[in-house]
Amino acid sequence: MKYFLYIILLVLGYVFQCTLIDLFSIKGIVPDLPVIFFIYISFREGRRFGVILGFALGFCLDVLTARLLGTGPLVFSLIGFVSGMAGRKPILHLNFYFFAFSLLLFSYYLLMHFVVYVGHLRFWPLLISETIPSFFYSEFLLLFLLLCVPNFIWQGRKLMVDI
Amino acid sequence: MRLFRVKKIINDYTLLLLCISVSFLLMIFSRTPGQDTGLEEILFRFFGSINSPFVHLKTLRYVQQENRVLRFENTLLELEKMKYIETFYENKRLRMLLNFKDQDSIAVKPARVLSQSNIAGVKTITIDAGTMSGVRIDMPLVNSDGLIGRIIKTTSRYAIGQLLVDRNFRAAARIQQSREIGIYQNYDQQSGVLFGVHHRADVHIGDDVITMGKSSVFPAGLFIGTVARIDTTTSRLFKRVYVESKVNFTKLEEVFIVFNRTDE
Repeated sequence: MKYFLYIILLVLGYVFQCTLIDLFSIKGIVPDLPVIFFIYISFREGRRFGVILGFALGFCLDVLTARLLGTGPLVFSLIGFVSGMAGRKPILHLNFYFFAFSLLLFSYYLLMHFVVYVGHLRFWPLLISETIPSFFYSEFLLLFLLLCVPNFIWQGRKLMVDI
Repeated sequence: MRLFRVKKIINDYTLLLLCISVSFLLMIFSRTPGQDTGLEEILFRFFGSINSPFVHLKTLRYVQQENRVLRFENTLLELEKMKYIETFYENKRLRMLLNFKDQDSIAVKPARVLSQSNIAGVKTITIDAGTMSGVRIDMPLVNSDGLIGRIIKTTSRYAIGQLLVDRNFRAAARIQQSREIGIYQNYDQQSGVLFGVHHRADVHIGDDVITMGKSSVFPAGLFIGTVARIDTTTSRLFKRVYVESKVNFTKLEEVFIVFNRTDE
Protein backbone atom coordinates (compact mmCIF):
# COMPACT_ATOMS: atom_id res chain seq x y z
CA MET A 1 0.00 0.00 0.00
CA LYS A 2 2.80 2.36 1.00
CA TYR A 3 4.73 1.75 -2.23
CA PHE A 4 1.58 2.17 -4.26
CA LEU A 5 1.05 5.57 -2.63
CA TYR A 6 4.64 6.50 -3.44
CA ILE A 7 4.14 5.65 -7.09
CA ILE A 8 0.90 7.64 -7.25
CA LEU A 9 2.66 10.58 -5.62
CA LEU A 10 5.48 10.50 -8.16
CA VAL A 11 3.17 10.05 -11.15
CA LEU A 12 0.93 12.89 -10.00
CA GLY A 13 4.00 15.00 -9.34
CA TYR A 14 5.23 14.46 -12.88
CA VAL A 15 1.81 15.04 -14.46
CA PHE A 16 1.36 18.24 -12.48
CA GLN A 17 4.88 19.32 -13.42
CA CYS A 18 4.12 18.87 -17.11
CA THR A 19 0.73 20.51 -17.21
CA LEU A 20 -0.35 22.90 -14.48
CA ILE A 21 2.88 23.96 -12.82
CA ASP A 22 3.03 27.15 -14.92
CA LEU A 23 0.03 28.44 -13.03
CA PHE A 24 2.24 28.57 -9.97
CA SER A 25 5.34 29.95 -11.63
CA ILE A 26 6.91 33.10 -10.30
CA LYS A 27 8.61 34.97 -13.15
CA GLY A 28 9.16 31.71 -14.97
CA ILE A 29 10.60 29.95 -11.93
CA VAL A 30 8.89 26.68 -11.11
CA PRO A 31 9.56 24.06 -8.43
CA ASP A 32 10.58 20.51 -9.35
CA LEU A 33 7.82 18.34 -7.90
CA PRO A 34 9.07 14.85 -8.88
CA VAL A 35 12.39 15.62 -7.23
CA ILE A 36 10.81 16.93 -4.05
CA PHE A 37 8.68 13.81 -3.74
CA PHE A 38 11.59 11.58 -4.64
CA ILE A 39 13.88 13.01 -1.95
CA TYR A 40 11.08 12.82 0.55
CA ILE A 41 10.43 9.15 -0.24
CA SER A 42 14.10 8.17 -0.29
CA PHE A 43 14.60 9.96 2.98
CA ARG A 44 11.92 7.80 4.54
CA GLU A 45 12.82 4.50 2.95
CA GLY A 46 16.59 4.27 3.10
CA ARG A 47 19.41 4.23 0.63
CA ARG A 48 18.73 0.94 -1.13
CA PHE A 49 15.20 1.95 -1.99
CA GLY A 50 16.48 5.43 -2.86
CA VAL A 51 19.00 4.08 -5.35
CA ILE A 52 16.54 1.75 -7.05
CA LEU A 53 13.76 4.32 -7.17
CA GLY A 54 16.21 7.00 -8.31
CA PHE A 55 17.47 4.86 -11.15
CA ALA A 56 13.95 4.00 -12.32
CA LEU A 57 12.65 7.56 -11.98
CA GLY A 58 15.69 9.06 -13.69
CA PHE A 59 15.36 6.58 -16.54
CA CYS A 60 11.67 7.35 -17.03
CA LEU A 61 12.29 11.10 -16.96
CA ASP A 62 15.10 10.75 -19.51
CA VAL A 63 12.83 8.80 -21.83
CA LEU A 64 9.91 11.17 -21.38
CA THR A 65 11.90 14.35 -21.91
CA ALA A 66 14.28 13.03 -24.60
CA ARG A 67 17.25 13.96 -22.42
CA LEU A 68 20.53 12.09 -22.95
CA LEU A 69 19.70 8.62 -21.61
CA GLY A 70 21.70 7.97 -18.45
CA THR A 71 21.95 11.46 -16.96
CA GLY A 72 18.75 11.02 -14.96
CA PRO A 73 19.63 7.59 -13.51
CA LEU A 74 23.10 8.87 -12.58
CA VAL A 75 21.95 11.97 -10.74
CA PHE A 76 18.85 10.41 -9.16
CA SER A 77 20.69 7.26 -7.97
CA LEU A 78 23.30 9.39 -6.24
CA ILE A 79 20.73 11.67 -4.66
CA GLY A 80 18.59 8.67 -3.66
CA PHE A 81 21.54 7.03 -1.97
CA VAL A 82 22.51 10.14 -0.02
CA SER A 83 18.88 10.84 0.87
CA GLY A 84 18.47 7.33 2.21
CA MET A 85 21.70 7.67 4.15
CA ALA A 86 20.65 10.98 5.71
CA GLY A 87 17.23 9.60 6.56
CA ARG A 88 18.76 6.79 8.61
CA LYS A 89 20.67 9.06 10.99
CA PRO A 90 19.40 8.75 14.52
CA ILE A 91 19.18 12.51 15.07
CA LEU A 92 15.46 13.00 15.12
CA HIS A 93 15.13 16.73 15.08
CA LEU A 94 13.40 19.08 12.71
CA ASN A 95 16.49 21.21 12.16
CA PHE A 96 18.45 18.16 11.03
CA TYR A 97 15.78 17.15 8.55
CA PHE A 98 15.43 20.63 7.20
CA PHE A 99 19.18 20.94 6.83
CA ALA A 100 19.53 17.50 5.22
CA PHE A 101 16.65 18.11 2.83
CA SER A 102 18.03 21.49 1.81
CA LEU A 103 21.46 20.07 1.21
CA LEU A 104 20.11 17.19 -0.86
CA LEU A 105 17.88 19.40 -2.91
CA PHE A 106 20.68 21.85 -3.49
CA SER A 107 23.00 18.99 -4.51
CA TYR A 108 20.39 17.82 -7.00
CA TYR A 109 20.00 21.24 -8.57
CA LEU A 110 23.75 21.77 -8.67
CA LEU A 111 24.40 18.32 -10.18
CA MET A 112 21.69 18.70 -12.77
CA HIS A 113 22.82 22.20 -13.66
CA PHE A 114 26.35 20.95 -14.12
CA VAL A 115 25.29 17.94 -16.22
CA VAL A 116 22.93 19.95 -18.42
CA TYR A 117 24.61 23.33 -18.74
CA VAL A 118 28.31 22.52 -18.71
CA GLY A 119 29.89 24.43 -21.56
CA HIS A 120 26.88 26.69 -21.98
CA LEU A 121 27.43 30.34 -22.73
CA ARG A 122 25.53 31.40 -19.62
CA PHE A 123 26.50 28.70 -17.14
CA TRP A 124 26.89 31.10 -14.19
CA PRO A 125 24.11 33.57 -15.03
CA LEU A 126 21.69 30.65 -15.46
CA LEU A 127 22.80 29.22 -12.14
CA ILE A 128 21.95 32.48 -10.43
CA SER A 129 18.84 33.44 -12.37
CA GLU A 130 17.18 30.02 -12.81
CA THR A 131 18.68 27.16 -10.85
CA ILE A 132 19.05 28.82 -7.45
CA PRO A 133 15.60 30.49 -7.48
CA SER A 134 14.07 27.13 -8.51
CA PHE A 135 15.92 25.53 -5.62
CA PHE A 136 14.47 28.04 -3.15
CA TYR A 137 10.96 27.54 -4.52
CA SER A 138 11.31 23.76 -4.24
CA GLU A 139 12.81 24.17 -0.79
CA PHE A 140 9.75 26.07 0.31
CA LEU A 141 7.47 23.31 -0.93
CA LEU A 142 9.63 20.64 0.62
CA LEU A 143 9.42 22.34 3.98
CA PHE A 144 5.67 22.57 3.56
CA LEU A 145 5.52 18.84 2.79
CA LEU A 146 7.70 18.05 5.76
CA LEU A 147 5.68 20.06 8.22
CA CYS A 148 2.16 19.63 6.94
CA VAL A 149 1.80 16.03 5.77
CA PRO A 150 0.73 14.02 8.80
CA ASN A 151 2.82 10.97 9.48
CA PHE A 152 -0.12 8.57 9.78
CA ILE A 153 -0.67 8.81 6.03
CA TRP A 154 2.35 6.63 5.62
CA GLN A 155 2.74 3.26 7.28
CA GLY A 156 6.49 3.48 7.68
CA ARG A 157 7.46 5.90 10.43
CA LYS A 158 11.08 6.56 10.01
CA LEU A 159 10.62 10.26 9.59
CA MET A 160 9.11 12.96 11.74
CA VAL A 161 8.95 10.85 14.86
CA ASP A 162 9.23 13.78 17.19
CA ILE A 163 8.18 16.63 14.94
CA MET B 1 25.22 -9.70 13.20
CA ARG B 2 28.18 -7.44 12.42
CA LEU B 3 29.02 -9.58 9.40
CA PHE B 4 25.45 -9.21 8.19
CA ARG B 5 25.64 -5.43 8.55
CA VAL B 6 28.93 -5.26 6.64
CA LYS B 7 27.44 -7.42 3.92
CA LYS B 8 24.39 -5.16 3.77
CA ILE B 9 26.54 -2.02 3.53
CA ILE B 10 28.59 -3.57 0.75
CA ASN B 11 25.42 -4.54 -1.03
CA ASP B 12 24.10 -0.98 -0.87
CA TYR B 13 27.35 0.43 -2.16
CA THR B 14 27.55 -2.27 -4.84
CA LEU B 15 24.05 -1.42 -5.91
CA LEU B 16 24.95 2.25 -6.17
CA LEU B 17 28.09 1.46 -8.14
CA LEU B 18 26.10 -0.79 -10.43
CA CYS B 19 23.52 1.92 -11.04
CA ILE B 20 26.22 4.50 -11.76
CA SER B 21 28.00 2.11 -14.12
CA VAL B 22 24.78 1.32 -15.96
CA SER B 23 24.03 5.05 -16.19
CA PHE B 24 27.40 5.70 -17.81
CA LEU B 25 26.92 2.74 -20.14
CA LEU B 26 23.51 4.12 -21.10
CA MET B 27 25.07 7.49 -21.84
CA ILE B 28 27.71 5.92 -24.03
CA PHE B 29 25.80 3.17 -25.77
CA SER B 30 22.24 4.47 -25.82
CA ARG B 31 20.56 4.28 -29.17
CA THR B 32 20.60 7.15 -31.59
CA PRO B 33 18.38 9.92 -30.21
CA GLY B 34 14.98 9.98 -31.80
CA GLN B 35 14.54 6.27 -32.33
CA ASP B 36 11.47 4.59 -30.96
CA THR B 37 12.28 1.78 -28.52
CA GLY B 38 8.73 0.82 -27.61
CA LEU B 39 9.18 1.89 -24.00
CA GLU B 40 8.60 5.48 -25.05
CA GLU B 41 5.32 4.52 -26.65
CA ILE B 42 4.10 2.87 -23.44
CA LEU B 43 5.16 5.78 -21.24
CA PHE B 44 3.75 8.42 -23.59
CA ARG B 45 0.46 6.57 -23.87
CA PHE B 46 0.23 6.23 -20.10
CA PHE B 47 1.09 9.84 -19.32
CA GLY B 48 -0.78 11.14 -22.36
CA SER B 49 -4.02 9.70 -21.07
CA ILE B 50 -3.43 11.11 -17.58
CA ASN B 51 -2.27 14.50 -18.82
CA SER B 52 -5.25 15.19 -21.10
CA PRO B 53 -7.74 16.36 -18.41
CA PHE B 54 -5.07 18.54 -16.82
CA VAL B 55 -4.24 20.10 -20.18
CA HIS B 56 -7.94 20.88 -20.74
CA LEU B 57 -8.05 22.46 -17.31
CA LYS B 58 -5.08 24.63 -18.17
CA THR B 59 -6.62 25.58 -21.52
CA LEU B 60 -9.85 26.76 -19.92
CA ARG B 61 -8.03 29.45 -18.02
CA TYR B 62 -6.95 31.28 -21.15
CA VAL B 63 -9.69 30.36 -23.59
CA GLN B 64 -11.95 33.38 -23.16
CA GLN B 65 -9.17 35.92 -23.35
CA GLU B 66 -7.62 34.11 -26.28
CA ASN B 67 -10.91 33.98 -28.13
CA ARG B 68 -11.30 37.74 -27.92
CA VAL B 69 -7.78 38.31 -29.20
CA LEU B 70 -8.24 35.79 -32.00
CA ARG B 71 -11.43 37.42 -33.24
CA PHE B 72 -9.68 40.74 -33.43
CA GLU B 73 -6.67 39.24 -35.16
CA ASN B 74 -8.90 37.35 -37.56
CA THR B 75 -10.49 40.57 -38.75
CA LEU B 76 -7.08 42.15 -39.30
CA LEU B 77 -5.84 39.07 -41.11
CA GLU B 78 -8.82 39.04 -43.44
CA LEU B 79 -7.94 42.56 -44.47
CA GLU B 80 -4.28 41.61 -44.87
CA LYS B 81 -5.24 38.56 -46.91
CA MET B 82 -6.93 40.62 -49.58
CA LYS B 83 -3.78 42.67 -49.97
CA TYR B 84 -1.58 39.56 -50.14
CA ILE B 85 -3.69 37.85 -52.78
CA GLU B 86 -3.05 40.77 -55.06
CA THR B 87 0.67 40.70 -54.28
CA PHE B 88 0.78 36.94 -54.79
CA TYR B 89 -0.57 37.13 -58.33
CA GLU B 90 1.66 40.04 -59.13
CA ASN B 91 4.67 38.12 -57.83
CA LYS B 92 3.67 35.06 -59.85
CA ARG B 93 3.45 37.10 -63.03
CA LEU B 94 6.81 38.70 -62.41
CA ARG B 95 8.49 35.37 -61.61
CA MET B 96 7.15 33.93 -64.83
CA LEU B 97 8.56 36.88 -66.72
CA LEU B 98 11.99 36.29 -65.12
CA ASN B 99 11.82 32.50 -65.56
CA PHE B 100 12.28 31.87 -61.81
CA LYS B 101 11.72 28.32 -60.55
CA ASP B 102 8.98 27.88 -57.93
CA GLN B 103 10.26 27.45 -54.40
CA ASP B 104 9.33 24.37 -52.37
CA SER B 105 5.95 25.00 -50.85
CA ILE B 106 5.21 23.99 -47.29
CA ALA B 107 2.15 22.67 -45.50
CA VAL B 108 1.28 22.47 -41.82
CA LYS B 109 -0.54 19.97 -39.64
CA PRO B 110 -1.91 20.87 -36.21
CA ALA B 111 -1.03 18.92 -33.05
CA ARG B 112 -2.05 19.28 -29.44
CA VAL B 113 0.54 19.77 -26.71
CA LEU B 114 0.10 17.00 -24.16
CA SER B 115 2.81 17.98 -21.78
CA GLN B 116 5.63 20.40 -21.42
CA SER B 117 8.82 19.45 -19.71
CA ASN B 118 9.71 21.71 -16.81
CA ILE B 119 12.41 19.37 -15.59
CA ALA B 120 15.76 21.02 -14.92
CA GLY B 121 17.52 22.07 -18.09
CA VAL B 122 15.22 20.35 -20.55
CA LYS B 123 12.75 22.36 -22.59
CA THR B 124 10.66 19.95 -24.61
CA ILE B 125 7.00 19.36 -25.40
CA THR B 126 5.12 16.14 -26.10
CA ILE B 127 2.57 16.37 -28.92
CA ASP B 128 -0.20 13.98 -29.96
CA ALA B 129 1.04 13.29 -33.47
CA GLY B 130 3.57 10.65 -34.41
CA THR B 131 4.90 8.67 -37.32
CA MET B 132 1.38 7.47 -38.12
CA SER B 133 0.49 11.07 -39.01
CA GLY B 134 3.62 11.42 -41.08
CA VAL B 135 5.67 13.23 -38.43
CA ARG B 136 9.40 12.74 -38.78
CA ILE B 137 12.48 13.82 -36.87
CA ASP B 138 13.73 17.37 -37.57
CA MET B 139 10.38 18.70 -38.75
CA PRO B 140 9.92 22.28 -37.58
CA LEU B 141 7.21 23.30 -35.12
CA VAL B 142 5.54 26.69 -35.40
CA ASN B 143 2.55 28.65 -34.21
CA SER B 144 1.13 32.03 -35.13
CA ASP B 145 3.89 33.78 -33.16
CA GLY B 146 6.72 32.08 -35.01
CA LEU B 147 9.10 29.18 -34.74
CA ILE B 148 8.69 27.01 -31.64
CA GLY B 149 11.25 24.27 -32.18
CA ARG B 150 11.75 20.99 -33.99
CA ILE B 151 10.86 17.32 -33.59
CA ILE B 152 13.62 15.31 -31.93
CA LYS B 153 11.90 12.04 -31.15
CA THR B 154 8.93 10.19 -32.59
CA THR B 155 6.81 7.20 -31.69
CA SER B 156 3.83 5.94 -33.64
CA ARG B 157 1.34 8.31 -31.99
CA TYR B 158 3.43 10.85 -30.13
CA ALA B 159 6.46 13.01 -30.71
CA ILE B 160 8.79 15.12 -28.62
CA GLY B 161 9.64 18.60 -29.78
CA GLN B 162 12.73 20.47 -28.68
CA LEU B 163 11.82 24.07 -27.94
CA LEU B 164 13.59 27.16 -29.18
CA VAL B 165 14.53 27.90 -25.57
CA ASP B 166 16.30 24.57 -25.02
CA ARG B 167 20.01 24.95 -24.48
CA ASN B 168 20.86 22.58 -27.33
CA PHE B 169 18.72 24.32 -29.92
CA ARG B 170 20.53 25.85 -32.90
CA ALA B 171 19.23 27.29 -36.16
CA ALA B 172 20.77 29.02 -39.11
CA ALA B 173 19.14 32.43 -39.15
CA ARG B 174 18.97 35.58 -41.20
CA ILE B 175 18.02 39.15 -40.42
CA GLN B 176 15.13 39.80 -42.72
CA GLN B 177 15.79 43.47 -43.50
CA SER B 178 19.56 43.44 -44.06
CA ARG B 179 19.89 39.73 -45.06
CA GLU B 180 22.80 39.28 -42.60
CA ILE B 181 23.26 35.69 -41.42
CA GLY B 182 24.15 34.05 -38.10
CA ILE B 183 23.59 31.06 -35.86
CA TYR B 184 20.71 31.29 -33.42
CA GLN B 185 21.27 29.79 -29.96
CA ASN B 186 19.27 29.89 -26.73
CA TYR B 187 20.14 32.60 -24.22
CA ASP B 188 17.46 32.62 -21.54
CA GLN B 189 13.80 31.72 -21.01
CA GLN B 190 12.41 33.93 -23.76
CA SER B 191 15.32 34.99 -25.91
CA GLY B 192 18.25 33.76 -27.90
CA VAL B 193 21.44 35.13 -29.30
CA LEU B 194 22.63 35.32 -32.90
CA PHE B 195 26.28 34.40 -33.28
CA GLY B 196 28.56 35.08 -36.19
CA VAL B 197 27.11 38.42 -37.23
CA HIS B 198 29.94 40.56 -38.55
CA HIS B 199 30.68 43.71 -36.55
CA ARG B 200 30.03 45.87 -39.61
CA ALA B 201 26.71 44.18 -40.33
CA ASP B 202 23.70 46.41 -40.67
CA VAL B 203 21.54 45.31 -37.76
CA HIS B 204 19.04 47.41 -35.85
CA ILE B 205 16.86 46.88 -32.83
CA GLY B 206 13.43 45.77 -33.97
CA ASP B 207 14.65 43.93 -37.08
CA ASP B 208 12.99 40.58 -37.74
CA VAL B 209 15.01 37.37 -37.58
CA ILE B 210 13.94 34.45 -39.76
CA THR B 211 15.30 31.00 -40.58
CA MET B 212 17.86 31.02 -43.35
CA GLY B 213 16.73 27.91 -45.21
CA LYS B 214 20.19 26.59 -45.97
CA SER B 215 19.89 23.66 -43.56
CA SER B 216 17.92 20.47 -44.07
CA VAL B 217 15.83 21.19 -40.96
CA PHE B 218 14.17 24.57 -41.32
CA PRO B 219 12.74 25.99 -44.53
CA ALA B 220 13.53 29.62 -45.27
CA GLY B 221 11.44 32.39 -43.82
CA LEU B 222 10.12 30.98 -40.55
CA PHE B 223 9.90 33.87 -38.09
CA ILE B 224 12.17 33.41 -35.06
CA GLY B 225 11.89 36.74 -33.28
CA THR B 226 12.92 40.37 -33.29
CA VAL B 227 16.25 41.95 -32.42
CA ALA B 228 16.00 43.20 -28.85
CA ARG B 229 19.57 44.21 -28.06
CA ILE B 230 22.91 44.39 -29.83
CA ASP B 231 26.15 43.90 -27.97
CA THR B 232 29.21 45.13 -29.84
CA THR B 233 31.64 45.17 -26.93
CA THR B 234 32.07 41.45 -26.31
CA SER B 235 34.02 40.68 -29.45
CA ARG B 236 35.89 42.65 -32.07
CA LEU B 237 35.00 40.56 -35.06
CA PHE B 238 31.40 39.69 -34.36
CA LYS B 239 28.40 41.37 -32.87
CA ARG B 240 26.23 39.57 -30.40
CA VAL B 241 22.62 40.10 -31.44
CA TYR B 242 19.96 39.26 -28.87
CA VAL B 243 16.72 38.00 -30.36
CA GLU B 244 13.46 37.95 -28.48
CA SER B 245 10.85 35.38 -29.48
CA LYS B 246 7.17 36.34 -29.51
CA VAL B 247 6.10 32.83 -28.56
CA ASN B 248 4.84 32.40 -25.03
CA PHE B 249 6.50 29.11 -24.16
CA THR B 250 4.56 28.67 -20.95
CA LYS B 251 1.17 28.69 -22.69
CA LEU B 252 1.68 26.31 -25.58
CA GLU B 253 -1.51 24.41 -26.29
CA GLU B 254 -1.46 23.77 -30.02
CA VAL B 255 1.41 23.74 -32.44
CA PHE B 256 1.75 23.24 -36.17
CA ILE B 257 4.15 20.78 -37.70
CA VAL B 258 5.70 22.07 -40.90
CA PHE B 259 5.76 19.57 -43.76
CA ASN B 260 7.37 20.01 -47.12
CA ARG B 261 4.91 19.12 -49.87
CA THR B 262 7.16 16.18 -50.68
CA ASP B 263 6.80 14.83 -47.10
CA GLU B 264 3.04 14.54 -47.33
